[in-house]
Amino acid sequence: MSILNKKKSKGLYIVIFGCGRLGSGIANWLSLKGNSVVVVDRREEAFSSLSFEFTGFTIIGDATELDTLETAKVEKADVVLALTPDDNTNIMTALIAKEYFKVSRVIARVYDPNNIDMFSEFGVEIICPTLLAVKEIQNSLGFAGGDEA
Amino acid sequence: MKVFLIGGRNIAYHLARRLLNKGHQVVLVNKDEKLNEELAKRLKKAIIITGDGSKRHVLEQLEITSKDLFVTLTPNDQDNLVASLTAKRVFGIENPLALINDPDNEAAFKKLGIDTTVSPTNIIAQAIEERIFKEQITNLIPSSEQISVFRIEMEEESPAVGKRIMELAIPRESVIGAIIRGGETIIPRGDTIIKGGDQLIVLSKPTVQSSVFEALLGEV
Repeated sequence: MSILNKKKSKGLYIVIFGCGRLGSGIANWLSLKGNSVVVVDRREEAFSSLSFEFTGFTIIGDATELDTLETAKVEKADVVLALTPDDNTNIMTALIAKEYFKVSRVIARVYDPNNIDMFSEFGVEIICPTLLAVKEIQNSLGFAGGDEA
Repeated sequence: MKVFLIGGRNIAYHLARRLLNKGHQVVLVNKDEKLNEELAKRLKKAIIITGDGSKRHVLEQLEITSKDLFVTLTPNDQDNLVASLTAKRVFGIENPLALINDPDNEAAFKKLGIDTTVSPTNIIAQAIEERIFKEQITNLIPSSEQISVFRIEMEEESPAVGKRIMELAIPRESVIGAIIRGGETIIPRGDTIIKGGDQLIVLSKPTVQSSVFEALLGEV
């Protein structure tokens, strides 16, 4: 695949908030797959973890400011991913993307399993690394029956 | 009925003091332990809890009921939003009050069911703008971010006086909607001539309002 192949008409428009290890990893992968990707982070240095194959755009901005979501054209996004290190920021960005900008798929990473039910009611998909790790560990230890918690 | 104040430093202290003086029960929730020790010394009657008030497991220990008042005062809109939503959805508090730091977020909070918001930035900005405006200018909808509606009084020496509307160099994103002249209302056309003493009702985008003033009143 050519690196200079900047615009591909196919693929989705995806906005990712947070360019940490997870955000940049997903951004690189989605970009390589031919999607138009915009990555937003407060810190310019964060974008250094994007690979040279990343052909999308980067925006320096705070995910909790409505202005940033407008600059990133969230209202046109097919998918919004909220992957900053802060749970509440991810919840807020995801809820606004869903309820205010009517984005059809919104996924937020939230560490605290406490609030998953409440925020899922808004139609936001929540990925909880804590629960995923718990499940993985249960699986490796072989105790994973139908017995949750 | 208790009043829960989530986060906030000075503002929480002064609010708590005032509410306690009026005989209300006040619960302060703050992450900062040092601050809480300080607050405990100064607010003898308040209940002070150390913890993150945007976390459900912290709030669940506070025996919040739907009759209580719940106010979020942190400097982070995301924390205020999550705490307010938790108060509303988990504890059934109908109208939590949220401070918002970015005034633009007001609309987003409303959309998510948090209808009562207070924006210190907005309040101070309005106070500043009222000082900036000349006395001939009255802001008719002070709280709007989307549109500016002003009543502007023309003086004899105002640059717009004697000109036809079509000759005015006002921005495209603005319009003179009505002229009040001697108690009569005139809906102006392009050839209407502006006279001294006229009161113009001007609609514009907020971003161009200062060029509107300049075109009508000269240097602002």
